[in-house]
Amino acid sequence: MQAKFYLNKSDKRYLNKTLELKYDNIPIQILEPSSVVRPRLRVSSGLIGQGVNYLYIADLERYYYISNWIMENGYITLECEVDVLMSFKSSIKSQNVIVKRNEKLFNMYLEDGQYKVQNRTAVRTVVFPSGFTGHQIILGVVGSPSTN
Amino acid sequence: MSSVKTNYGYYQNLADGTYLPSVNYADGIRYNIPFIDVEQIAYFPENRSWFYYEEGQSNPITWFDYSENANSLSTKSNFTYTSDFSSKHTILMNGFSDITEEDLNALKESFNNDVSWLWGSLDDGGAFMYKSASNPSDVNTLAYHFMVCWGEFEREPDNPDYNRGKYFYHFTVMDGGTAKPLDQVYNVGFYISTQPGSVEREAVMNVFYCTNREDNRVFCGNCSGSASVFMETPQVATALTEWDINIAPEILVSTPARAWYFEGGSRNSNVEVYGFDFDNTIWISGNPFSEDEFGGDPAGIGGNASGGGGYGTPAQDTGDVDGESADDLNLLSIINSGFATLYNPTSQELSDFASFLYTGITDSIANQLKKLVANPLDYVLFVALCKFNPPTNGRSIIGFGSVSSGVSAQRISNQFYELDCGTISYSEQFKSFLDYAPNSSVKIYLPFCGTHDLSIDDVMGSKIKVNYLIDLLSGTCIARVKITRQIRSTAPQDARVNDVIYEFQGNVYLTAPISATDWRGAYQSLIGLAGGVVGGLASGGLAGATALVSSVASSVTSQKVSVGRSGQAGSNYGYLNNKKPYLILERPIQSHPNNWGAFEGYTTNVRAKVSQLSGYTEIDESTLWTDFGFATDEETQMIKDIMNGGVYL
Repeated sequence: MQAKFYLNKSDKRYLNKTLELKYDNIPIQILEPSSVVRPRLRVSSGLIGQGVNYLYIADLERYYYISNWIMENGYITLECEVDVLMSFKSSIKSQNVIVKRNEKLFNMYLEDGQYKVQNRTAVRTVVFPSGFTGHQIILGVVGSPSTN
Repeated sequence: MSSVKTNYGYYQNLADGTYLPSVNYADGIRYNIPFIDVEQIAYFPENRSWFYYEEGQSNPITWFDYSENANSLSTKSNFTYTSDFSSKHTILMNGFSDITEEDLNALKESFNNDVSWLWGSLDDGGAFMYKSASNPSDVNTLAYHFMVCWGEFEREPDNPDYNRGKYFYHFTVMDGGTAKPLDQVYNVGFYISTQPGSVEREAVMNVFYCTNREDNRVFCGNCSGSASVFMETPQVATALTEWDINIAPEILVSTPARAWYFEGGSRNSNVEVYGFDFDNTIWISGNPFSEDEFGGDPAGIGGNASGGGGYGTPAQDTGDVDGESADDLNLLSIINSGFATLYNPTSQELSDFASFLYTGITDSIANQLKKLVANPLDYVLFVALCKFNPPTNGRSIIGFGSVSSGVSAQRISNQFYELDCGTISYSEQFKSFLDYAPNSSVKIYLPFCGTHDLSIDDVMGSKIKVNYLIDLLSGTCIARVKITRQIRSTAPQDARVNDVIYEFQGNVYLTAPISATDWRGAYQSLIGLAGGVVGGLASGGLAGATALVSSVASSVTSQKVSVGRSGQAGSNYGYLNNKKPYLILERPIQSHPNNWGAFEGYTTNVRAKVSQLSGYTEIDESTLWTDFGFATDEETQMIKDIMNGGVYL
């Protein structure tokens, strides 16, 4: 079994990782027992250097983070964890989903509890163009105007 | 085509509820052109290609040809821009009804997320634009494609070849290439009809293109000479006008940046400015942006609720609510009945009348007056001060019962009087939920009626008019708040409004007591009023107030103390208060780091394919996932957890 070793420069939350191939077609041995999700691999010392943190195993069709690096007796034991995003990228991209938050597709009229506002508010007034003006006297009396 | 996705749905034929295009400026309805998105562009599903026919040609020309290996439209064979405005092409009509979801998704992928935007309907007539890389070797050279088309109509009734055609008119504005002159405008004519088979109006899509950052004003070639669109930064804008009417009531700009429409040298606030972005979203400004309206960090533009967002047929406008008019009320009034008369004396005339009352009543006059009342002063109904000019119709001698006072004064002609305080507009600042309750609030101060709460939903994006109806006999007034809002979309909240929806009572007189009895009563009543409750004091939130750590918008506003901003406002108190109505707007002050959306995204509620999304994304837990191929259960759960928690696509 072989693996490609990379330097991953991306955060784990990126679907598409920025990978720099460091070592190609390196023979590896999967230690038993191992799960496909968290396999333990053994690589001969000297085949890979310290500048890797990521690998791809074609036989398993999966990408892995290297979570631990143990050196003993001329071998390097790698404890890995599957990168489900890269491993199943095609399946993920084909999914029809309900999007809750997105950087570019959004509806700003939906309440957003993550919005931060200051504890003070802005108050302003907008005055109508007209209103009551002038000073007048109104006198009301019983009866009609005099004709005298 | 039967399904029209009205993302912002602001166009609809209200008469029959169907999405048909029409333009009718005369009666105030701006447009009835449905807005749909790229998914409904016609094409042949069997080979995933769009075809069109040259006029007079029998062989179709491939317009867009989707293939697995294609990476941009410009690499497609036979894809040509048309700079010759005179050429017209016909799109085959056959492609609309048989599109599968898979085909549509493939179509969108072929655009590489440079999603087309439609303003109108290819099926029923409209215009649209999209962008793509004009030069595949340089992604910075963008081409903006503009197309207009119209639906089936009988342009030439005796020529069957035109009966079933769909025409489009396509041209391109290039960016990153040859510099454009300042007033680069493309005019494209197209037809709009209210129903297939007829042509009712010919309209023009004017495309403005601006590259010069120094002077970003471009002029509408088909508008009046002084009409222009002012834009910041290089961008494109379109405006629909009528061919023979040089107005542009609506403008769309290519980025949600500032844009104004100028007419006659000044900004025309009646022109709606809409911004759109090329990821198929659009925002509606309501009114052109101004510096202070744009506020702090732009919250972004309204997205696509993709159905389920309440976009139904709005309640039909059943008529305007205007309230009672003074003219109608004055058809029958007390003051012209002979029982009472109102006068508008000057200070001197009132003084002369007072002299008559207190020194000029002889014994014979007093005896005559006492035939009806014991106290002659009872013939005086009231004396009041007011802050407006009542309507008068000439001078009369003030009658005092059956006796002449000898004092003349202007006679008030009508019992009921309307006073118009004018109209203001109220528009969004944040273009987001922050503009609405409970995050923002609006109150209105009305002279003589006090301060009252208004519902932001009622007044947002509207013109607000205040008008008083006053009974001059009693001083009683009704302050009416009328909301006017044109139809903006098919969403219920954007239906046309032209109604008085608030009425508040008050009294506009500062009444002077005219006897000792009156003084005692008035004084006691004033004391009682002074000790009364000042309205609107703190309610809610105080007892349970807790320190706010995160200052999240809704938490902040719900904890705010509700305060009254005025006490008694009627009658004598009102005479001392402000004399013009005003709105009191209270808005939050948002706090965002730069590029916040790239780290946390914004709320949305749409259904989409993951491949169509980009940037920070969180998937809702309610998503029904299909299988992930050979992933184990644990891996499947890991995928869901990560996608729900937030990923960068």
